[in-house]
Amino acid sequence: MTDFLANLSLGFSVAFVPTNLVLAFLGCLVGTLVGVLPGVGPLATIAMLLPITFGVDPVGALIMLAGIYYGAQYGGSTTAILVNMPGEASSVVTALDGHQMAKQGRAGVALAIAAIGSFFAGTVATLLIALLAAPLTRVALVFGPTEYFSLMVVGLVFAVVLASGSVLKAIAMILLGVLLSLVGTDLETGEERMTFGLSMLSDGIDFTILAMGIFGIAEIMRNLTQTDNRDVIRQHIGRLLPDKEDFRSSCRPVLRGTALGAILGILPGSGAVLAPFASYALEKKLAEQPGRFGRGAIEGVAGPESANNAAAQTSFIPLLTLGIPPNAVMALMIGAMTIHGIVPGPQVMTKNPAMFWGMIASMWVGNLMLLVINLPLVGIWVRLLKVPYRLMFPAILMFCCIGIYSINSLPTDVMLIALFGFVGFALIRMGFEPAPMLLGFVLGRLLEENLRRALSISRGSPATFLEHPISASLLMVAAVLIVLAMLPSIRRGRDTAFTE
Amino acid sequence: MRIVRVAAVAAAALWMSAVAVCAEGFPERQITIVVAAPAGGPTDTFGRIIAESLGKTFNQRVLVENVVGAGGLVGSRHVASSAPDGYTLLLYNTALTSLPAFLKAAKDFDPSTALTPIGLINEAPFVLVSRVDFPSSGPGDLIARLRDDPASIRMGHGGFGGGAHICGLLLARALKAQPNFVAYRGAAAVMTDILGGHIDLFCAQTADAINNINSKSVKGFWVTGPARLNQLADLPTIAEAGISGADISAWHGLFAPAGTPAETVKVINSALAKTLQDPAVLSRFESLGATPVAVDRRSPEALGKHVKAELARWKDLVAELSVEQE
Amino acid sequence: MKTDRPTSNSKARLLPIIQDQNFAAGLLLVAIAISAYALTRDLARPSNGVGPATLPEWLSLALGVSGAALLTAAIYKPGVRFERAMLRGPALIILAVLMFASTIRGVSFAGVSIPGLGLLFAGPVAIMISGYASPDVRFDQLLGLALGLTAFCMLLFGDLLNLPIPILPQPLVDLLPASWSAKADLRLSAAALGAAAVLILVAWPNSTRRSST
Repeated sequence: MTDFLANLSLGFSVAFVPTNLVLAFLGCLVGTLVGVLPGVGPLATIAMLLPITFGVDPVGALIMLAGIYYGAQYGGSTTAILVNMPGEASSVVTALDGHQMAKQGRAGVALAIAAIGSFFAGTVATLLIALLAAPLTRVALVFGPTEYFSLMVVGLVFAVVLASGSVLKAIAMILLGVLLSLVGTDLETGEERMTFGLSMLSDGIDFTILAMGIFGIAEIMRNLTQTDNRDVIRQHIGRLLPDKEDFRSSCRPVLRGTALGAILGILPGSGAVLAPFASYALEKKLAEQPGRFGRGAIEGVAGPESANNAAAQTSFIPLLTLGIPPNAVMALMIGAMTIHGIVPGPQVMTKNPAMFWGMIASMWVGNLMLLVINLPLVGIWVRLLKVPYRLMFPAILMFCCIGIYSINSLPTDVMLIALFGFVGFALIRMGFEPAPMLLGFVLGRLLEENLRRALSISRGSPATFLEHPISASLLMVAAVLIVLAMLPSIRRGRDTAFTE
Repeated sequence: MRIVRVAAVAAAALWMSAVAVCAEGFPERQITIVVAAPAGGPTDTFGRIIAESLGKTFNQRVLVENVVGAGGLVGSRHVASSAPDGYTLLLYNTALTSLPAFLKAAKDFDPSTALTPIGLINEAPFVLVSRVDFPSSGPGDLIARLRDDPASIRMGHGGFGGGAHICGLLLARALKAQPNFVAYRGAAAVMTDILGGHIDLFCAQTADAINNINSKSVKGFWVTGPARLNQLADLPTIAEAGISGADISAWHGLFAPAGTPAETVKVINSALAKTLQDPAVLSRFESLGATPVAVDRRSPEALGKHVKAELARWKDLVAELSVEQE
Repeated sequence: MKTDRPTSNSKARLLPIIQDQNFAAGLLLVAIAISAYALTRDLARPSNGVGPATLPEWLSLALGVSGAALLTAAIYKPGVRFERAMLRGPALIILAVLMFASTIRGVSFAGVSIPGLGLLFAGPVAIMISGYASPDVRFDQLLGLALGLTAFCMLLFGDLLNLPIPILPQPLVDLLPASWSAKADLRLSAAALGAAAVLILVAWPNSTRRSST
């Protein structure tokens, strides 16, 4: 315990150095800006800004880069809530109820609760890292391909819960999402699968492009064909900040989301992706009226946003202690660390205690700054919604095009968003929901790769999934979840499950 | 009014392009280095370091553009079809030579004729590592085990036709024993599972291997280069361990489209040579675990020869092991 | 994401099967399943274990089954009417995106080559086309937005964020004095666009009359 306090105070003494505070602030600001722009992700920004940080000392540089990362995560939620354009897997869930809230004139409340929930989750996760970073690292390594496969199965079951309409259609969408994720060159044999021989598909479909098309562009097309609800958002703009009732209903989702996110974030590779989905599924299961979800339930924003931020924090654990990057942004951070002469790995904690604890403390500082930056911005964002839709959507479209183009500098990527936009539009008109498909897409590739890896390691024996205890218990959880998800529809009778 | 302006622009453009033809000083505008790998990866890091330094030497803006796709084929093709004027360059790695052998879509792409070599940047061998509790006492024992029951040994690699995969295939050919290959997406994921003890062997990149061997979280067996590494002096080279014909090094090189004037290539090559002596660049290389290529291998000709030799080698390897699809 | 339901008692009304939403949905799924199956026919199938074709095969089978279930549902239990949508909006949106994509860097496709015009042209073109997807479009406002927003984006993406996006067409760059840096070219043209936008919004005859939508 004394260690813990000593470490934290060392950390804060580093984080509160004025230059580091300024760098954290700048990072969060740039990150928020970049995150708000649809398509432009933190990855591109960090890559662009990396050379600028060469002149700064390593701790400061990493603090700034970490700030960009959180900022972008938060900024992405803003876009998801305001215009239904999730730029990252994590904000898909936020878009579900967040955008509905915006349509009901509660954009301010949604944005504010997202900021507050994220801050709370960030605080808890920071403390958790400071307390348990070293022992948690070993837990992360227990997860091999076998365990990840079973974890992905659980994730796909969450996707069923995500849907608010027909269960059958939701399952079909998940299957379609998984199928789409398999497009591209096969990892094991190098064969091209379902690419029509097009080189633009040989690396698979980019998540951002799919999400922008299926959610964002399709939403614009849908609004343009529905004359009645086009300017519904600017009709009434309610309170900017949540009231007592909002706080009361989002208090527990925030707590649960934080716990879920903190646990899933530790798993290197793919845990953090699951966090917001898991939290949404959990809240919907626990809610007294699950029917409110998908129609602007504040719990559906508060829980996943907290889970997401907690996971974003704890995913620094495998990075700092093992040197394992859980995602592309983190891989870039490792690149930045090595460029600055710090070798990530178990030694970091003992060799560079000032850097290690300084970064952890600055995570919390960064979260505080995000709150400081974003709460005043809520008013501005909401005012932006007053722009007439006939001017708003061309602007959104242009930001989208530029953002997508800037990812790979490929005009064909931009063309793909038009295609996916129309596909999404058609799917919506046939009563399909895009969210389960996106989750299927996110998890699909991991599902297949880990399945094949696990079978390859076990030399083809499927029993391996039951022989590994963690994997076996995860599969049990999945089975229980399926039964729970099916129960209401079985009770209601099969007919209702098919039609509504 | 509009038409007049358009005409003026067109006329001016014609005049300018005529001027460009007889221009003597390269470079007189912004240069783009196309990196055929995603932003943030190791190749991209090299690209940005080189771009910054070249920009200083030329006193021009040198932009890095990531053109990603099909294992680098998209970016390489993009540069190959650009104007051969030295203003669009390609920075890429070992994959450039393995693409035509391993990827069906790259069959008709020949980097040795589609691109003009400018110069190698760095070369680094792989280090064969295993999980820390892998029951093998050393190189000799490992070779015996591989010969004995190769299918029981799980060897990870970071992608079909990538450096670690080729490294494993070369080993399989030399020993006539194919280990059980497990495919991952990127080297970091393989290292994670080596650390977690889920798989047995991996040809790791130098920097990664040095860190993990020093912290005793993995075991090292040999180095796949022609000489031992300073930082791991007690690890033998693969030849010393008794395996011949299985040496491989990862490299990064700079290319221009085929048909780029020799003068321009020379200008860029000497700027690159200057970069590889810049202390700021060298210190960044060192922190990445990279060493600049030996002085006698810095000429465009050396890179050209290297590319041709590798292309032939991988083609033979694929044919002999029939790993190729279809 | 609810679809429009014509009347509350639509279930009671007898719908022709062709117009049932589930019928269309089921057909789509079956079509996807068949094409996915066909597309993976040529993949290697290892005699034992899971190969590259295994999962796509399972998935197309499962998708086909779901599609069949939806078709059955449509036949036995009439659902929501699948209404034909006005496609003018979506078509213009698609056209706008395609125009942006093909003019930003230039493409050569099937013998036709479009020159790279950069954001300076691709931006306004995309905005002008997409703007007409809305029935209550106003030319002056849209033109002002197209020029103003393009100027803003040039500064934001090109100058501030330094993204490698083509800003100006090469002929125009050649036209400008070679001694100017790329950044100066960019800022100058952005300023010109911005000024034009302000001019249009202020001086256009109708722009003072605010529409009430």
